[in-house]
Amino acid sequence: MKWALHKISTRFLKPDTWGALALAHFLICAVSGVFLAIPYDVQNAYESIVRLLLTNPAGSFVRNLHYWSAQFFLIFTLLHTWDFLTSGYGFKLKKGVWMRLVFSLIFVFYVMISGFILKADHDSQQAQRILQALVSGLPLFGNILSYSLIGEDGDFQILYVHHIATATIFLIIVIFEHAKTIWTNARTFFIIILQVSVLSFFFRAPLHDNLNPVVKGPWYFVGLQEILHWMSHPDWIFVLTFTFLAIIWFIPKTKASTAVYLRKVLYFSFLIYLILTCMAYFFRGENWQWDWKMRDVYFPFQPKTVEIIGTSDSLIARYNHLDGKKEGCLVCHSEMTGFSPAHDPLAIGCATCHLGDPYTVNKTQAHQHMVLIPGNLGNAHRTCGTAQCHPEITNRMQTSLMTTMNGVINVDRFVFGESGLDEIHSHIARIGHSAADQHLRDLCANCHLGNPKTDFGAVSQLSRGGGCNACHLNYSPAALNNLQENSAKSIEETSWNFHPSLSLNITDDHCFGCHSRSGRIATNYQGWHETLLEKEEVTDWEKYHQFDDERIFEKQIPDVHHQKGMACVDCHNSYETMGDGNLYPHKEFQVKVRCEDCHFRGTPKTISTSSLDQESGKIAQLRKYPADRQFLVFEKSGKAMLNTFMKDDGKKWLIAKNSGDTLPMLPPASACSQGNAHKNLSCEACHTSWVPQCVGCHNAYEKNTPGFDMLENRDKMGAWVEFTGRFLADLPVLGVDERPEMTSGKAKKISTFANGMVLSVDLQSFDGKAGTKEIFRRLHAPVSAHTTITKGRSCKSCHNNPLAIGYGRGKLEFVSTGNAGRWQFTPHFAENKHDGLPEDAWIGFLKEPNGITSTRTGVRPFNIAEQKRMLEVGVCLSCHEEDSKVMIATLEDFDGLLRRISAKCSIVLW
Amino acid sequence: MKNDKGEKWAAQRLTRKDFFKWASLVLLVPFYKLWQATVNFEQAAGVKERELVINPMLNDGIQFTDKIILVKKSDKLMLFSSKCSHLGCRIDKEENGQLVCPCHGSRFDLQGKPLKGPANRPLEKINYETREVDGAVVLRFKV
Repeated sequence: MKWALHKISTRFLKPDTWGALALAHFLICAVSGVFLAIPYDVQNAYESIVRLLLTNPAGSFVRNLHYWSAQFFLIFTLLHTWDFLTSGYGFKLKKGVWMRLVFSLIFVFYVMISGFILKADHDSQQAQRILQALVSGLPLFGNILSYSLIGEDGDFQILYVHHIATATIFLIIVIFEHAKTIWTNARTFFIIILQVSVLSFFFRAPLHDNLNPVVKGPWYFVGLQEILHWMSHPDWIFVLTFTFLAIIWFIPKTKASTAVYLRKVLYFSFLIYLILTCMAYFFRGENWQWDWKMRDVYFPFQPKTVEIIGTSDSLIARYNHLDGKKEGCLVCHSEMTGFSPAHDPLAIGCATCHLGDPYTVNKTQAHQHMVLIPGNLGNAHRTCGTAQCHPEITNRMQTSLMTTMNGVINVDRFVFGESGLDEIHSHIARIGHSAADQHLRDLCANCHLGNPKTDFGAVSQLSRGGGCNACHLNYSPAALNNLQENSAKSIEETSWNFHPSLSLNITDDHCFGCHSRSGRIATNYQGWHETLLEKEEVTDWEKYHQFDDERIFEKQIPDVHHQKGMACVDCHNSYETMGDGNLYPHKEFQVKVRCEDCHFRGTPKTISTSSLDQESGKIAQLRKYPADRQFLVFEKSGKAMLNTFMKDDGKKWLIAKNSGDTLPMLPPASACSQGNAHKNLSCEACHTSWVPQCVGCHNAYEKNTPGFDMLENRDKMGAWVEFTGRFLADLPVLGVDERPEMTSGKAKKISTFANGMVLSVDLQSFDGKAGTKEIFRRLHAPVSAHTTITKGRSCKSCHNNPLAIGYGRGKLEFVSTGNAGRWQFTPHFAENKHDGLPEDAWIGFLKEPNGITSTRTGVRPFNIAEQKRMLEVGVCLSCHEEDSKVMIATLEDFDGLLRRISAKCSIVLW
Repeated sequence: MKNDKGEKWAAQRLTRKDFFKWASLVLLVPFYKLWQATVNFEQAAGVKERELVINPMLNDGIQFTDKIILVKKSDKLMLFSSKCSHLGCRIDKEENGQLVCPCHGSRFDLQGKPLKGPANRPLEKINYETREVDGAVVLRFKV
C-alpha cells in the first residue's frame, strides 16, 4: 500500500521537478492561449467569452486548459523558487541571470493578473482599475508604466498585447536563460496535460456574472486585497514587494546563517499571507464586509462540466438570434411572457433574478444554484437588490418595522417582564427562546417580510412575508393557469410559458395576510370584525363572512376611504412600507401620513416632478403621471404624495392607485376647528367608527400541545395558547399622547386606544418553576383602527361614555338631587382579581393613572382633572341637546359658561 | 618608460564592450523621453471631453455611470469621479445615503467626503459646464 502510494505520488502527482512541472504548464498555457486568441474579441471581451461558453464547448475546454495550466504554472514556479532557495540545486546562477529571474517573478504575476483582467467581467474591470492606481503610485515613472502596461480604464488592447506577447516572450527568454531548454520531457508533459485536461473537463474557469455584488480579485491576490483593505496608503505595498524580491535575490548570495534567517522571514510571511488569503477568499462578502456565509456564494470549485459532444446547432442558432441579453437561460426560455416592462428578460435576462448559471445551455448545469423564488430577503441582495437594480431598497427594507417587528418584540418582552419599555432595536430574526420569544414564535413570528416565500403561487390571505414578493408579486389568470397545469406534472413534463409579474400593482389583498391580525386593520378597513363563531353557528351569511383561514367575521362599517375605492397604498407610500432607512421603535413612528396631509384648509405645500427624489420620480414615471404635475407633500416626511395633485384652480385631487378613480380631497368640516375646546383632539378621536377589542385574555403554555415555530417554519411540541373571552367592535377608548413626534408641536393630543394588552400570562406553565408568578398587565395601546367615517362621533359618545373615558363598559349616570349631583359608574364586566378594575377598564373611575398603563412610553389615560373636565361637559349633555346653542357655546368658553349657569343647572359634586 | 605609460593607458582605455554598454545606457535617456512623450500624448488624447445628457426634470438622487457619479439634491448637481480615492475601484452603489466602494469597503458621504476607510481622501469632484439643447440639459466635463 505504502509502496503504491509512493509510486502514485512520484509518478503521477509529482512526476518531475517543480521547475519542469511549471515549464510543462507554461507550454500548455502558451499553446492553449494561441487557440483562445481565435474566439477572443478584445473589443467585446466579456461578450466573446460568454459566446464561447455558450456555443463552443471545444473553445470552453481550451479556455479551461489555459486557466488551470496558468494557475499551476504560478504555483509550481513559486515552489520551484522556494526549492532553489532552500536546496540551491547544487549550482550557482550567474548574477545577471539570477537578477532577471527574480525580476521575472513580477512578470509571472503580471501575466497572471493580465489574464484575469482580460476576461473583462465585473471583477476584472475593478482589478484593472486597482492595478492602474497601484502602479501609478510608483514614484517617478509610475504613471507612464501604468499606462504602458495596463492601458486605459476599460480598454484591454495594451494589456492583451502584453499578455500574449511581451510578458510571454520575456518569460520564455528567462526560462531558456536559466533552464537551457524550453521543452520538458515527454513523460512529464503527458502526465501534466492529462491532469490539466481532467481538471478542465470538470471545472470551468471563472467568469463573474456581473450580478454577484461581491468583488474579489484572483485567488492569489485576495490576500493582497485584504491587506489593502487595511491600508490607507497603498503605495507602501511596493516597499513590501521590493523588500521580498530583495530577500529572494539576496538569499543565494549571502552566508548560510543569514540565508536561514531570511528563509524563515519568507516562510512566515507566506503563512500569514495564506491565512489572509483564506480569510478573504471565503469570508469577505459584499463591500468587503465580514460574512460567515460567503462560502455558499463564492465557492468556485463546483463541477461545471464541459459538454464534450457539443452544443446542438439549433441551440446555437437560437442563441445567435436572441434579441436582448445574451445568456444561456433565454436560449430555452425566450418564449416566456407575462413580465412587467421593467423586468423584461430580453433586457435584464433571467439570471439577474433567478441566478443559476447563465453561461451554459446544459439544463442541469444552468439550473444549479438557481433561486426559484427571488425576492425573499435572504436572497434579495443578490436578486432584486443587485447593484444595477434596487440595492438601496433592499438595504432599506432591513430597517423597516415590517421586517424587524421591533415594536411587537419589545412590547411582548415587556408584557412578559423580560425587558423595560425602552426603545431598543430588536429584530425578529435574532429572537431567542425565552418565554416571550417563544410566545412570539408560536403566535406572531411569521408576519414579517423576512419570512421566505417557499411555494409558487399568488399572494393570498394565507400568505405571510415573502420579501419583495409580499407586495409586488401578481399572477395573471394565464400564469395561474400555467402553474396549476404544471403542478400536476412531473418536472420533466412541465412547460413554463407564463411568468407572474412584479409590479407596482399592490392591492389590499397583498397586505391582508399579515394585517388582518392583531390590530386587524386590513379587515377593519373593509368593514369586517372578527368573531369567535364557528361556521356552523352562523345562520345569516349576509352579515358574516368566512375568510380563507376559516375565521368568521361580522359586517361592520367599512372605512370611508375603502368605500371610495382607495387601497392601502394610496396612503402608505414606499418609504413607509419598505422603510426609510431609520430604525423606528413602533409603527406610528414609521408611518408618516396624517389625516391632515389630505384634509386641510389653506394652501398646501407642493412639489414639482423635477424636485422629486429619485425613487418617487421613478414611481411617478412608471405610473405615467404627467410631468407638469404639482404633487402634495407629506408634512412629516417631506416626501411627495404621488397620487395627489393640485390643479391651477387650487383644488386638490387624489387618484386611487389601483382603481384610477380621481377623488376630491375635501377639507375638514368647520365643526372640527370650532372653538378651542377640541384643539387637542386627533381626527381619529372623532372619526373612528369602531375598534376591535378583546376582553378577558389569558396566555398559558401547553407543553403537550403540538405547536409550530413560525420563525423557523417547523413543527414542534408545546405551544403558547391564547384564550380570549370576547371580541367586541366598539368605539375607541380615548387617551392622551404626549410624545413630541405625534403631537405636531402641541403639548398633547387626544388619541384613540384599544385594550390590546389587558391580559394575564401563566409563566409557570412555561418554565415549570414553582412559585413563578402569574403576570398581569393592564395596558392599552395607541390604535389607528382604519374605520374612518365622515361624520364625527357624538358629544355624548365621549363625555357620557365610560368606555371612551377609560372606565370600561357599563352604566355611567349623573345622579342629581336638586341642583347638585354625582357621577356614578356601574361596570358591565366583573372586576379582575389582579387589580380590582373591570376587565375592560383602562383606569379606575375617577382615579389617577398609576404606573405603566400603555405599551408605549409617553401616552396615558386621562388624569383626574381631565376626567372631571370631560364629565362636567357630560353633565350639561345630560339635559342639553348636542347641537343646542349652549353646547356650541361650550366649545368657545366653557369656563365662562360655567360661571353663568342658571339655577336649573346641576353642579357636580366630586 | 614609454612602454609603461602605454600599458597604463591601455589598461585605463575604454574597451569596445564597455563603450557600447555605456553608450546603450546613455541612449536609454532619449528612449525614456520618447516613451514618456508617447504615453503623454496618448494619455492626453484619452482624457476626453464627455457629455452627459440629463432630463431637466431629473429627480433628487444618485446616478451611477461608468466614469462618474452624479448627485442631485435640491437643484444642486455634483459630479464625482466614480474612482474610489483609495485605489480607483469603481463605486457603483449607494447604501443608506452613503457611496460604497465594493472592493475594499470605503464609504463616502454625498459630498464625496470619506466616512470610513481605507480611503482617506475625498472623491475627485468633476467640474462641468451646462448647456441646454432641445429641452435637455447637457453636462460637459473632462474625465
